[in-house]
Amino acid sequence: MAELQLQQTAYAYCNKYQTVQALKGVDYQFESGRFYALVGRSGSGKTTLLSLLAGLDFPTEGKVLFNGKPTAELDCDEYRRDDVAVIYQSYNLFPLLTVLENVTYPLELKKTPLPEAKAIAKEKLLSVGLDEGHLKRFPAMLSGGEQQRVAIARALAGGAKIILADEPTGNLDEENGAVVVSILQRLAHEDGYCVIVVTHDMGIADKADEVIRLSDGRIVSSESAADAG
Amino acid sequence: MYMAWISFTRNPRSSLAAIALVAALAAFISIFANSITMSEAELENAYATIPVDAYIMGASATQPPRFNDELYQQILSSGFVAASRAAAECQVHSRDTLRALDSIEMDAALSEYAPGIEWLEGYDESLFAGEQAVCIAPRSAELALGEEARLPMRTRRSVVAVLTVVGLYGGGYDGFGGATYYCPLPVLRGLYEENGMPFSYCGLEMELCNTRELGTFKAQMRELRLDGGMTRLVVNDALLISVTTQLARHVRLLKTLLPLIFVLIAAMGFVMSFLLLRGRRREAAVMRSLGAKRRRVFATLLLETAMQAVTGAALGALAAFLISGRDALCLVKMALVLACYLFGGAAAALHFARVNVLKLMAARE
Ligand SMILES: Nc1ncnc2c1ncn2[C@@H]1O[C@H](COP(=O)(O)OP(=O)(O)OP(=O)(O)O)[C@@H](O)[C@H]1O
Ligand SMILES: [Mg+2]
Repeated sequence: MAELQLQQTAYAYCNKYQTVQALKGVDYQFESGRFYALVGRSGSGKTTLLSLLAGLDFPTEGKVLFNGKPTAELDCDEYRRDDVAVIYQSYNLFPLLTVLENVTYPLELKKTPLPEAKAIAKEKLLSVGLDEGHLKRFPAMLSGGEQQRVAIARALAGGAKIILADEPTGNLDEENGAVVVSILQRLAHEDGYCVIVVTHDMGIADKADEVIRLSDGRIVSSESAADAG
Repeated sequence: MYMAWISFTRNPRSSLAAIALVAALAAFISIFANSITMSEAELENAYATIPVDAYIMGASATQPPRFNDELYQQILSSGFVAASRAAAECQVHSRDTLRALDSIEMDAALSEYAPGIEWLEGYDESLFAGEQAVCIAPRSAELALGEEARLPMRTRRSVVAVLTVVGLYGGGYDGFGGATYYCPLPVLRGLYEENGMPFSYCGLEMELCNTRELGTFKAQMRELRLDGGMTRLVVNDALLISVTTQLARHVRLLKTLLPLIFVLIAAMGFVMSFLLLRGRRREAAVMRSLGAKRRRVFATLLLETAMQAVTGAALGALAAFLISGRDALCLVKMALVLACYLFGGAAAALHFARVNVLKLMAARE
């Protein structure tokens, strides 16, 4: 069974005066162990789709199914805490917490005892290529690439098996971008995560197992690496 | 909550701003409340120390009042009279007067003569406090000390006051007004009662007590019809009123301001927390996206505000102590300041705990 499934998923941004139909009925299945790239022009609905997958909101029509259950029926706080992790273009680390504390935070939410939480956090940080010297620093004292790796470590610490990333390399230079992508790729292929990355960078899309192209709130094409060659 | 503690300690600039504000508010409230207490004490003191006297006046300055014993008793039993002295008089012989006093001070003329009074052995002016059938006679009456003065009433010649002369005053002649004899008040009253004649007073002076409720006293006196006409009550409360109305108005103003200030403190708590947390909207959204419940985010933000507020209140209390001493310290007021500030802070924290997480995704640095 697909880990994440979109069923006629539609979403409209509403306020008092206007309604913007950002997604217009999308069907798709995401499996674990695969690396997906979500591409499309600006405004095509990529971020919106990712937000629905992350359980930040629910579709206005249709469903997002997690392990066969609509997200709307889940406790969305628990879903976000245990099942999905989001990586942002702008890192979104807590500026007042050290690197180690940032990564410990999701474990705190799960009430993991502190020593154990610290050990897990440290392990995750080392696994994304940071070293001991970084642990006590504040995010502002790190480079963009390092910050993004901390963000990935934080995403991993919570134990979620689905990783959603919105233009994770958007603020990074090519070299750092490549490091981040290779980490994400490794997570999908070696550790069995379901990784979905929104990107403008066709170089990244080339590395994906499946590329999903959105346009005006609809999926216009999807191709898997296997199909391509 | 570790997160709140960290934000509190690692974000000194915003913490200091909040701490300074709460400290200032706490010190202000302490000093303000203390000034209310002090003004109230001053007011109390004014009522306790400023004397108010009252007297009964006739229709005009030259015509003495006349009032009966019933009215006299009613005035004295009003509960407002601390001390009093009264006078009565009747015409004797053809043109003399017998004045009855219960204190020598009730008669200005006699008081003036007092140093020159020649006393019978064993007597002095305290005789007016007693009930002995004695009198002070004018020298012009040519009576000797120890002799009996026989004073027939002009209105009823058969009634005669027989009084032993125990004091002599004045010069050798009596002028045109006739001579005046002085005797204790109960003696004259007794004479009237024995003979079934209506007794009336012609003067009453009082020192009032319980001056906080003078309005009640005046109302009672109005009911006794002492507010005008032939017998009028005059209350010398101008000084008391001028002092106390000012003080009372001051106290009232401060007291009405106090709750308003607490409302303002709540408003300031909201504004301050709102401004400080506004820059942390993103952090709140990140917490939520990592799976923190709204309740938890709210608690984190509120706890941080509370740490700032408690520190501020403690410093404020210290400042108040240094400025106006121990009396200014009031735990209840401090708790109220904290509660009001945190009430406003909670509103702000709630606002940011309800941050729209969806917008976080779209946010770019
Ligand atoms: N908060 C919002 N309120 C109203 N409309 C919105 C909001 N966010 C996005 N939209 C609209 O929804 C549509 C899809 O937006 P979305 O952010 O998903 O696009 P995107 O594919 O992520 O674009 P980009 O590549 O620029 O990030 C757009 O037309 C956008 O104008
Ligand atoms: Mg986007």
